[in-house]
Amino acid sequence: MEKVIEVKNLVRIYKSEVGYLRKKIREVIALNGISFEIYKGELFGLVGPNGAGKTTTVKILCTLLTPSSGSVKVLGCDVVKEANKIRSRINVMFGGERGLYWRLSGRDNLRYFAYLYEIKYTEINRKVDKLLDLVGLSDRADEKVENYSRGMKQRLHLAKCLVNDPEIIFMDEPTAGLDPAFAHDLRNFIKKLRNEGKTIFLTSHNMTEVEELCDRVAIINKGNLVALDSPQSLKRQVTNYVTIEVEYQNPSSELNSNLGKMLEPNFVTLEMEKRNLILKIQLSQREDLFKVLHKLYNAIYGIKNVRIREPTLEDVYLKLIGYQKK
Amino acid sequence: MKPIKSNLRLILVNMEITLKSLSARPTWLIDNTIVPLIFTLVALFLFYLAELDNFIPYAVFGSGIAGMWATTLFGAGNSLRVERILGTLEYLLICPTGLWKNLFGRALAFSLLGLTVFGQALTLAVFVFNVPIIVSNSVVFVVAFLLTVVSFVALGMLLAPLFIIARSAPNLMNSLETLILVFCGVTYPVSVLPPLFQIVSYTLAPTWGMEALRFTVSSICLDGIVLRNVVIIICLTFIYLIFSKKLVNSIEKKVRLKGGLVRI
Repeated sequence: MEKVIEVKNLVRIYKSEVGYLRKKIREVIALNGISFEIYKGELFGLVGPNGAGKTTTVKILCTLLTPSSGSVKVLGCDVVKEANKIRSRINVMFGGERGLYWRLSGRDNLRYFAYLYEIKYTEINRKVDKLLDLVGLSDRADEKVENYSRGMKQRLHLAKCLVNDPEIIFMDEPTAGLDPAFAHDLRNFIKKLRNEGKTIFLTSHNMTEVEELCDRVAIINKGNLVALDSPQSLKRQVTNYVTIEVEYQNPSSELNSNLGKMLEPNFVTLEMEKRNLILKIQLSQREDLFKVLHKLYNAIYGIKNVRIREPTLEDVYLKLIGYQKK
Repeated sequence: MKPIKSNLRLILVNMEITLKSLSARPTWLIDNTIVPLIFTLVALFLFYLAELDNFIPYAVFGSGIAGMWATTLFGAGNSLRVERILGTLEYLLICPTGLWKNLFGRALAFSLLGLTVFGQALTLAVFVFNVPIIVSNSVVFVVAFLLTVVSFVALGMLLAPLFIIARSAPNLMNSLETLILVFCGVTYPVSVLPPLFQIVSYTLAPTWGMEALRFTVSSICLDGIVLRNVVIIICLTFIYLIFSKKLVNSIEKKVRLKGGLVRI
């Protein structure tokens, strides 16, 4: 398969000045020698906690930032030396409310970006109409963007990143802050783009989304890649993991404080939902399932519901990142 | 031919976008028309009461050009600050057309707006103060005027990129705006400045432009001198544009290295 992105030992260090009179240079290592490859037509996901280096990676790949060291090639071109050869063939969607001209209409925004991407003059209006139609903004195309809802702005971002029919699309948390219905539509749209042969680089905090969409997923933490594989293969790392969700009423505070100790070494969280408590126990050994259920049955009165859930990508994430924090 | 056409279209669309964004601002008429009109009016009254000989070359041209310069420099620079706040500057840096051409379009749009200030000054002189504007050679006047405008745009292009790297650029720009007007002798002859200052003045294309404009309305207009000034303006403007392109490129590199665009 053809490689379209090649990252080798990528390091990115941010330097900033600290202090007023005696200024010191503070260095923050955002990426600490990561390496990966992405193939043509692949939907690649990058997940990790806030500040892990996801956006920095996207910015380097789309030529907005320079790597401190290492080699990064997009479509066979170096992101520093041959940035101009890359730019017309890629596009990026940073998402959120920024990145649009609020005082211009949606149509004018797209027209302007079409010019910026050197789209043939005679095709611009037709292309803009088509994109507006595609993202369902035709009816409100001539309204100022400042009057758009967050979802509409995100649709415009999406149309904007398709303006040059890019070979690679970088999407940085595209569904963040969207209502479930539009997030669902957007996910379907991303799948459609992948089916059309586009390579998509996606970052997200939503593990369900990443698991549903991505062919391969990389997990990044503190600038280091801690895992990289298909969601199925990654989940094999946690085949032993089973999550038990116990919903119960009338808990005693003594019981709740002892649960963690009682169920050691398993990972326990307690959430309040309406008037019920939901106890989530992530077992590290599948064989412990009946032993733990027996303990719970003896310890908790007023159990309303028990659910047993198979491992998900979120479990892999929590194992690799969440547990380190705990 | 194709790149020239597409570059021209890009500049035009930047002008269109700039003017549309500006006109959507509720206060744009006050900022860009009414306030400059008041300043122009005050300047004209002051000169009118003092000495009528200097009224057209120094008061009318001076206040018109000063207003145009303020609009061009602050507009182009401020548009970059707004891009930074909106988060669109990042997209301008990664688009294939590059930042410089887009910035040039913006600066031209603001100079167009600035021209209205110049137009106001001329209109006030003729219709309110009843002072006719007599130019010895209207073609030479138009050429000198247009080149002066372009030279200001080029000078603005040299300074505006500061807005990309420095968040405090608006303060710096206020000082620079006045300094350039002082050095270019917009409302007085450069010869009144100390010799050391005059050296700086003559490295600034608008100084030559202002001189050329004054010659066209003076009783002893020498086409040869105006032509000399025109050639110097063209050369200096060309140099500014080359330097501004290099400056924008080097700032782009710096921004990519530092990665501080998100800070506003």
